[in-house]
This record gives sequence, C-alpha cells and structure tokens, in this order.
Amino acid sequence: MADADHNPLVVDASRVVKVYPGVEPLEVLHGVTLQVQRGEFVAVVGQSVSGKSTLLNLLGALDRPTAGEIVIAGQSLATLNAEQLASLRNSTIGFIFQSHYLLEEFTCLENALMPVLISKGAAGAEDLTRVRGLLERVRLGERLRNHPSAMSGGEQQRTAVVRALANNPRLVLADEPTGNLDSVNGREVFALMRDMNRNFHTAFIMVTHDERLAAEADRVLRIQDGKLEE
Amino acid sequence: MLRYESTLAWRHLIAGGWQTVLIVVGVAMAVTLVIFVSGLIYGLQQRIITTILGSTSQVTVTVLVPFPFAPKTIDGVPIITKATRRPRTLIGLQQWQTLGQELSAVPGVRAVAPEVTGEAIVTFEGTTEGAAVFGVVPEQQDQINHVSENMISGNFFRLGLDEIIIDYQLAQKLGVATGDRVSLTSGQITKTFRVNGIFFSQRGVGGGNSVYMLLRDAQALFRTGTSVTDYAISLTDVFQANAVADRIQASFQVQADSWMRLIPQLMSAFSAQSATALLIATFSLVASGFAIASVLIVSVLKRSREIGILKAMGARDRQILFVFIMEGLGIAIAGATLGALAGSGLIIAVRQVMQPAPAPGIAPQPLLPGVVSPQIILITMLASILITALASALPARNAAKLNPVEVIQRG
Repeated sequence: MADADHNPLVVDASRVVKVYPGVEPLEVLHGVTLQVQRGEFVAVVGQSVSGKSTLLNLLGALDRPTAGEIVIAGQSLATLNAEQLASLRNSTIGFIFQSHYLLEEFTCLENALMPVLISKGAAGAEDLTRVRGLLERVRLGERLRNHPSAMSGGEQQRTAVVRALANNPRLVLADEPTGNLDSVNGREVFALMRDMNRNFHTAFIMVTHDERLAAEADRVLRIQDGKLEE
Repeated sequence: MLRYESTLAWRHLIAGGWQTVLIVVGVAMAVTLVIFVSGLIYGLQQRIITTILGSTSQVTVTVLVPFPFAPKTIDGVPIITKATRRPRTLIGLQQWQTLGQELSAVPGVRAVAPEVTGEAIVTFEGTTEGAAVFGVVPEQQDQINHVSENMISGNFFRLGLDEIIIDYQLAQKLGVATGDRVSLTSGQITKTFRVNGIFFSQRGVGGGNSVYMLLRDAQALFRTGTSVTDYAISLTDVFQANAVADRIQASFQVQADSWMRLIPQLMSAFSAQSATALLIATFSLVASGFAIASVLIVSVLKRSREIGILKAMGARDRQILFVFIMEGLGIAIAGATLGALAGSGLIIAVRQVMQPAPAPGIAPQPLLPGVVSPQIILITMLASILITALASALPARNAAKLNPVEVIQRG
C-alpha cells in the first residue's frame, strides 16, 4: 500500500460503460473517463437520470462496470473479490447520501464510529478521540449521546459527514448531500465538507444539482446523456 | 470481531419493544408446553411402571427344561403345541444359590431375589379367598418391590416363621387384622399363620391378593423341598428388560422372561405416548420457529436500508448474517430459558394437587405425576435454539444478499 499512499491519483477511471440488463438493455454510462487527484473537490452536476448516481456507485465499489477500468487509490476494482471490495469501501471510501441513513438504535457518536466498528468490532481510544473531535468540530459535541430521532435534519447530516470520515478515507463520495436540507443547513454541510477536504486532503466527489454549490468546487464536471464533460 | 454485530442485534431486539416481548413469550410458551407435556407423559409412564412393575419382577428367571423332542417348525419357527409346552420346574438348592450370585453380576441387573410362588386358599372365620403366595427372603425381596415402604401395619423385615403379611385388599375381603390367625391351603397341605402385617400394593388390576411369607414356609406349603421356583430380578433401566433377559438366557441354562414381552400392550401404549409427546414437541417448536422466521423477515425488510448502508460502509455479508442469526438466537435463548422455568414451575404446581390417599397410612400420590427432567429440559431448549437458528438462516441470508445500491436508491 506504500505505493498507493504516494499515488496522487485517488480515482482513475477510464472508458467506463454501464449497461443495465433487461428486455431493453439500458446503457447509462457511455465510456466515462475521470481522474481525481488527492485532496481535490469535484462536483458532478447533471439531469436527474443522467447517470450521476450510477457513476458514484461504480466509483464507490458498490457496483461493477460493464466495461472499462476503475482504479481507486491504486487498486483496480476488477481484480478484487466481494470481500476485498467491502474492505476497500470500509478503509478508503466514505459515503454521504441524500438521506442521512443513520442507525436509529445508535447514538450520534456510535453512528459516527460505525465504519470503525465494522472494521475493528469496537472503537479504540484513538478512534474515539478522533471521531469525538470531529463531532465537536461540527458543533455536535453536546449531541454525542443523542439518538438520530432527537436531532435536527442538519445535525443528522453533519453526523453522516463525520461518519464518512471516521476511517480517514482517501475519497468521499457524496450523493446530493444537501438535497434534503434547507439552504442554510445545506450551506453549512457543504462548508463542512469543504473544510474537511482542505484539512485532511480527502478527495471529494459530490453529485449535486445545486449549481451555486457546484461552483465552489475545485472542478465541475457535467454529466449529460451518460457522457462526462468538464 | 463480533462485538458490533451483537450490539446491533441486541439494539434491534430492544428497539423491537413489545414485538420482541411477544415473540419471546411465544417461544417461551412453546417450550413450556413441550416441557410440561413431555414431563407429564414421562411421569405417567413412570407411575405406570411403578404400579405394574413395582410389585413384580421385571425379569423372571426359571429353569429351562429341555424339550423331550424337537418342536415342529414352519420355516424354522418352532410351533408350540400342548405336547411341546414347557413345564415349569424348580431350581434346585445348590443351583439357585450360585445362580443368584451369577445373576447379580449380569450388567443391568439391580437386584435379585429368590422366590417360591404358588396359589393358596386363605381361610379366616369361615371366609375364604384365593391368594398369590410369595415365599421370599424379605431383605432381598424388598429390593425388587419395596414392600417395606408400603406397610400399613407390621414390619416386613421382622417377618418370622409361621407368619405372613397380606395385601390390604385381601385383608379387607377377609376381615382380618394384624395379629389374627389365618389358614392357608395348597393341595393337601394346610398351615396356620399369624398375620404379622398388612401392606398396600400400588398394583391395581390383577393384584391385591398377595401374601408374603418366608421362603422356608412357602417351601413347606408348596412342597418344594429346598428348591425355589424362580428368581425375581429388578433392573437399573426397566426398558432394558429384553436385553438383560436375552443376556441371561445366553449365559445360563435358564428361561428369562422380560416384562416387556409378557405385557406387549403396555410397551405399545408407551410408544404411542412417547410418539404423541414427540409430535406435540415437534409441532410446537416448529411453530415457534415459523414465528421467529416471520418476525425476522419483517425485521430484515424494515431494516433493508440500514443493511444497505452498513454494506456500503464495508460490512461483510457474513457480518450481516451474524446480526440476524444472533437476533434469532437472542429470542430463542430468552424464550427457551423462560419456557424452561415456566414449564418446570407448572409441573411442580400441578404436582401439588393430590389424589385421595389410597389406604390408611399410605402417602397420597399427586393427581398428575409430572416429572421435571433435566434431560427433557435440556433437549427441548437445544431443539428450540437449533430450530431458531434454522428459522433465522433464511431471513439472515436475504439480509446478507441485499444489494446496497438497490436499497439505498429506493430510499
């Protein structure tokens, strides 16, 4: 992994094609090529069914492309089995969705620690300190023991952002992270992601249809009819 | 590595609230039913065994007399006709004392007692009744049928020469009491005996007319000289009677009759009861398994998005599988434990209801003689837990196989 750590390319996808099989096979991505540098913040904008989420699922190792190659942090996804993909998702990739998807039965702190719990079974003192620090930084220091149902929408989504960063990933994939929030909370969550991106040099790929937020990214990619344009 | 999976399973159960309570109670009720019904049937069988076999030997050994000629056979099976029927013979003194020691050493034999048995007419103040007479050695005989425990008056172990103890029912018919003198007639011989005591036999049908006397008195009454008619044997496990009888027959030149072969109807009744208990147990536990499966299927459906997000965050299929298996096991262990307690409690409670005392001085028996058997409880709990594990396997597999992309996008 020493090579991968020094590899400035976090995402290296070339000529990615995704076809959903069926009676009438649906080709969603027609040869997408994309490179994302370490610490880069990339916004992806496009129409509702333009293939943004499909791209994110492929980059997040949740789904496999029909053709083309995807390399995440130096590892070609095609060479990994399901177990290895799960391990890669856990250690290298963070996910933020439009809905927070926090676990109702767990507290704010436990939810934020979930990727650590998945990989280690229980959180060590170091993980606890780091994640608690992140939560304090996003003004959730008073909310550590609250369950999601006792938190506001903004607080829930901020918890989800911290959760995505819990295992110090090299890449965070955010699918409409502000989509369910009002503009004030949306801005705050975006600012937070940008802040984390700058502080930890974590690469972000954010799918959004909010052009104003996208404009603040390092780079804006437009996806249209399954093709990607700068 | 299991810690967060168990936490997740535990939190799911807690979050389930009343639903969890209900399903645990459901499993507990199934386990209670199984333990109660099995304990009751087992207890009833034990009572029947005590009643029927308690006052008789479980294997009876008599001497094998060689056939005077080879019996007729059809396809190798001997046909017993009047001419080939074996007469009962007496075990000679020399032989019976050594035989007694040898029989005690046979595996499965708990106690051995020599007997001189026969029938006699008992007369008291002009009333006569038929009696089954047992000439015994009290200390040895008591190992077979526990007469001393069922004495209404008198002392079995202090039985002297020219003394008898007689069954409560027979005593009532004759109107005799302890200390009375009665005469017993067998063939040409009539002897007078003092009634030393009265005992109560648990045996209902066919019993109630037994008379015990010392071996020597019976030998005189029935003119057997120094011989005995048979050996009564009790076993460590009454259901091993056939095996022990076969073992004895193979080792010694004797006839050994097992109660199981003498009362085959009882054996088939026992088998039917056991099969019923097994059927009830199977249906109850399988029903509780279905209940658990349905609860878990709903739980998996309700939590499919949660499962999806966990998998997106790197949870392995195996980990998700564990979560739901453990959820099922949690329900099963809680339910089985509660059910074991409730089932045992119920049996103990029911045992408090007593039958009326059968005879003065004899302790009353419980109306329903259930038995709290650790073996039944353990097997039931294990079966319930095993069935749960199987029942949770399908929903757990469904959960593990969920595609995170699909469930996340649906939300």
